[in-house]
Amino acid sequence: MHKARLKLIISSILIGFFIFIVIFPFYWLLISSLKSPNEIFSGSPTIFPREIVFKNYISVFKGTALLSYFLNSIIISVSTVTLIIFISSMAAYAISRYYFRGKIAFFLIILISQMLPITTLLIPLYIFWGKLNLLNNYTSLILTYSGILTPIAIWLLTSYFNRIPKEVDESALIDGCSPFMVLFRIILPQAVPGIIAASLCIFISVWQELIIAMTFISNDSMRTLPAGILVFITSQGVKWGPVTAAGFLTCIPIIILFVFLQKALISGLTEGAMKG
Amino acid sequence: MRLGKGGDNVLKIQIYKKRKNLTPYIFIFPALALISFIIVFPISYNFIISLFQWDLRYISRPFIGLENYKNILFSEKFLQVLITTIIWTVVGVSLQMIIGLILANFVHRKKQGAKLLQVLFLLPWIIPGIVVSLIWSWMLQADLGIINNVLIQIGLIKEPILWLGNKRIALGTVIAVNTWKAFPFWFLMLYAGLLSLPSELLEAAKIDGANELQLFWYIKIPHLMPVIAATGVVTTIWTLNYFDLIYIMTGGGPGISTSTLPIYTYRLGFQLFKFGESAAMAIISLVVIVLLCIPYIKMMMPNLGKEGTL
Repeated sequence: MHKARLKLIISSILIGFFIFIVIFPFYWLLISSLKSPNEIFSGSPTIFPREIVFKNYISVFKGTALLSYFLNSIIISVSTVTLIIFISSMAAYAISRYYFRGKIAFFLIILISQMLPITTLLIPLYIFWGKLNLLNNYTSLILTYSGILTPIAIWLLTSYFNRIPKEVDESALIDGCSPFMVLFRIILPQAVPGIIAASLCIFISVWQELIIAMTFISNDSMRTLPAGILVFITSQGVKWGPVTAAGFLTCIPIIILFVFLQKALISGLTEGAMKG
Repeated sequence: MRLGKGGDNVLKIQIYKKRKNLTPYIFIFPALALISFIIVFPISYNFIISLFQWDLRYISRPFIGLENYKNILFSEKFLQVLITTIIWTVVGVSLQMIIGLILANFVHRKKQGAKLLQVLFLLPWIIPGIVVSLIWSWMLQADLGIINNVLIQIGLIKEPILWLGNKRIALGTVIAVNTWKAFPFWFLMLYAGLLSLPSELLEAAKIDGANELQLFWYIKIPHLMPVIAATGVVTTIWTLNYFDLIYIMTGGGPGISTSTLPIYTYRLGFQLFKFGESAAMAIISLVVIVLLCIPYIKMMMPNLGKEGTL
């Protein structure tokens, strides 16, 4: 009995420690963003701020184009998600329902595309968009993100479509529906959880993407949030107050989406993995 | 009547079969076009660039064949970058797996509060990498950071530690922070794997007198093996290619002590403006990664022949 209690105490301490490590950085992000510059740059950090000030938030909104960064991020993320879901649901439907010549080659391309480091594509795409005069433009970012993330979306959606019985769309086809109607009227409504999971994964990836955004965009008002935060990392040092404020604001949309859609995300991710 | 109806159906099925031949191509066309445009074509172009002495600072760009590759493969820096990449990936993924496994096993045994812990532990994974990097840089900051401050106050250290500025420590620090960000995915997958374990099996083993460690080693681990393999491949690719965290926290430094393949490729191209050499480096990384992933590709391929399966 004594031994069992000791075990319980040790494992509780261990899990408590992990919870603390997971939560503390979020707390520190929020609390640092609410401190006055004097308090931040005093040598001894305070666990609770002596006074709560919104100076950092005000300076972020007044001093930078944060609202434009935010708007750019929203426009680019939402457009990319929409485009990818449209394109990849069609491809996933073809893989899930048809046998066709070249399927293996197509599949291989999708598989290998997911393994590429983005740095492999950076220089050619930079030259390429530059020649088309599309650097500093939504188009280049949306198309680049869509191309890079379409393979993984096809992957996720195919495993979802495979779980919908084939009889459903075969009977609809015999009743005279076109394959497009079958996909958009019958398959997609049944795959909503899978679509939500895939959309959320894409949104999270695009929302935080840094390397492409900072390479393709040099015009300040066209920056996305992650590239925009870099503005506070100056050659004289990092402006920690505004950085933490902007960082906190960047997290908010993701946390809101996650809170509402976590069930779909978790089931979408794990079911895909359980299938292999 | 009956005969007519049957004939009608046959006709429709034939139309369906005939249509079947062209439809998949129409359906995959947009995806294929986009992927060719954004991935296949740039990689080919990258290869061409890698054959030239393409330096943004000079106007002339002479063709030099495989000279860039030779320069890289025979340089001491490449060896160091390769070793750093292997340490970053192998140590990183192992740590993510071990922590994920401990926590998944713990939450699986607890049952109560499991849902809440699942959501809580997933947070670091969904938070943008740039924010994670910045908040940890801030906490690890040498003079003003909370971590050094607390360590000094409890008396564990006397002098502030340069977590990101010391050549010997920096790689360990970025690996630790990346583990914080990436363990949730392992936790999620392994926990789901444990949930799919039939509870009768565990009960039966307990009745036979197996202790916790035996349960874990002889029942849970073998059951989790397929999940571990699949998650291992995915997280290895992600970790290998992960750019943001190192770029923000150390920029690949001090020196090149935290430069992994992607970071070094980027530095060559966009800081030193040696596009040709950077392109060659990118192609080498690509080869390394595909070689590493061949077992995975093989694993995924056999199911392909069958209609309608992956």
